Amino acid sequence: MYGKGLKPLSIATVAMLALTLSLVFFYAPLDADQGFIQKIFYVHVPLAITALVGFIAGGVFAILHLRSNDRKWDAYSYVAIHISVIFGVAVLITGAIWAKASWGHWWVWDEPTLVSFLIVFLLYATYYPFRYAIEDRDRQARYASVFAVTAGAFVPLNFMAVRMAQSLVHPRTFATAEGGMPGEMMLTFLCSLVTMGLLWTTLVKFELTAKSASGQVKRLRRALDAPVAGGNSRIAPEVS
Amino acid sequence: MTPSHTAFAAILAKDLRSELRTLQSLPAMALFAVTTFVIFRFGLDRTSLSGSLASGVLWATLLFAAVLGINRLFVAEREEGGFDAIRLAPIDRTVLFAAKVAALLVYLGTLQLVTVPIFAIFFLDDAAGLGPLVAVLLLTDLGLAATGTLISSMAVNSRARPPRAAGPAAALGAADDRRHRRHRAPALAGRPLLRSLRHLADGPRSIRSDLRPGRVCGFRLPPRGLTGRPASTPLGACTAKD
Amino acid sequence: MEVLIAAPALPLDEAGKYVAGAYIVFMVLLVVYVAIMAAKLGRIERELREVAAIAEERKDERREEVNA
Repeated sequence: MYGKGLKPLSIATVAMLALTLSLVFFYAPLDADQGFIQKIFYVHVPLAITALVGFIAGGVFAILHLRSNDRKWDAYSYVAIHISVIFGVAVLITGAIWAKASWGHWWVWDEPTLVSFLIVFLLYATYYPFRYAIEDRDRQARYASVFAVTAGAFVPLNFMAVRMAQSLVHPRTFATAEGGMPGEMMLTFLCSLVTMGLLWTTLVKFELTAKSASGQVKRLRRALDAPVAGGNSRIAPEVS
Repeated sequence: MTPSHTAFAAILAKDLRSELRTLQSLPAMALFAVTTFVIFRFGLDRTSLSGSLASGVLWATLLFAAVLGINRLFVAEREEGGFDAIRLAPIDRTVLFAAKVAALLVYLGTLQLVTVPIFAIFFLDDAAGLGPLVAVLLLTDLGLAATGTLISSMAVNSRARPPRAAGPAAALGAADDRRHRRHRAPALAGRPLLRSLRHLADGPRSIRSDLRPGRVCGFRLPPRGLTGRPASTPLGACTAKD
Repeated sequence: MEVLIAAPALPLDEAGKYVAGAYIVFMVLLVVYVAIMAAKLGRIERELREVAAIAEERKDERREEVNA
């Protein structure tokens, strides 16, 4: 049931990814001051936006879980945050590479967007030990949802605070989505954004399908009174 | 009789495999370390460190992160009956100690492999001092592993709060410890120490012939109650008559 | 609307390495994820095989009971 739209979704993702990569390397013009380095922007920024939206989505699923008490929403929330954290790792690494290429250091504390993203990432990284610390599965799911909601509310606040502080601190040193960007770059950027969004959705669906499959196997085992295999994760919510 | 090195390898392999599967110690240690680096950046209001300041930040963070790993070292043994399994198996008790030291050594090494480069990226302007640091870290890991395992084994047996530095480590560790403590037993410093040392120093007890010497791992879990919590007297716990 | 190619900030071959590195990191993370999911799939397949064997055993037992 979870795997139902997975094939068309993944085909769409692959197609968009191919399109985006071609656009990035063959169509988008070179930036005036950063040159070829600026191409990292097409992978770094959409990943970041998708990761942040994914965190907010995790919060939304958590709200649905708290309202309906249906465990399935807890699973959605967990997987959304999980995939977003992975995207966050990619954001941080590609950001570090971009920083090294542009400014010569692997990490710049003066860049508020990167540092605030690091803080959001560390916040969500504590989601797992937090879940692990609570043994009772029902309480674990509820408290984790509360955490996801609070953190999900923090993400847009954090983003806006950084934006407002930027005008006081540093002018943005590279061309961004708000202005001064030629049409070709904007098109490529939008294609990349759509690709990352599709990729996120595909991975979430993929993970949910895998969880559901192992949940069905457990259900079969229980129906047959077969011994349950070991190695149950204490935090991953069961989907069935 | 099982030779010691086989038992050592078996216990070490079990620990590493279980850590790889459940990932309960290492990510928390690494996460704590990176978060502490960020806190130091804002607390010291510096974007680059050098000299004794850099050294202080790095060592403080590594030591507190090590405390997290030390706390969780014997938890699986206590919860799932590993201590009983060791006592039943015809092996020298010190094998458990040695295996745990080796496991903790691996955890600390992995932690440093991850966090020292991150520290260098965050704060150091040039990585020249890192070469000699590796040798120092190896020696420190050895010492930390040995003493940490000893303290951890005593703490887990006495069920008292292990000596712990106040601060962020306490928050992460306290949530952890609270769920392990079922009964609040007063910490009797003398008895737990004697008990632990006796466990470690005893030679293999003679076992009855019907008890097969077998794998040290794979001890059966105690039956779980309806809420998913283990039964109130976990099989693996050291009882008062020990 | 010409954002231009005056001169790239870094010589192209050096800049290319960083861009390639960033895209490679993205790809590697994706492939590592696929590998982890492949391992999970292998485990699910193994468990299904075990459960199928158990179900067939039960079926045989039941047939023996009926015949006996």
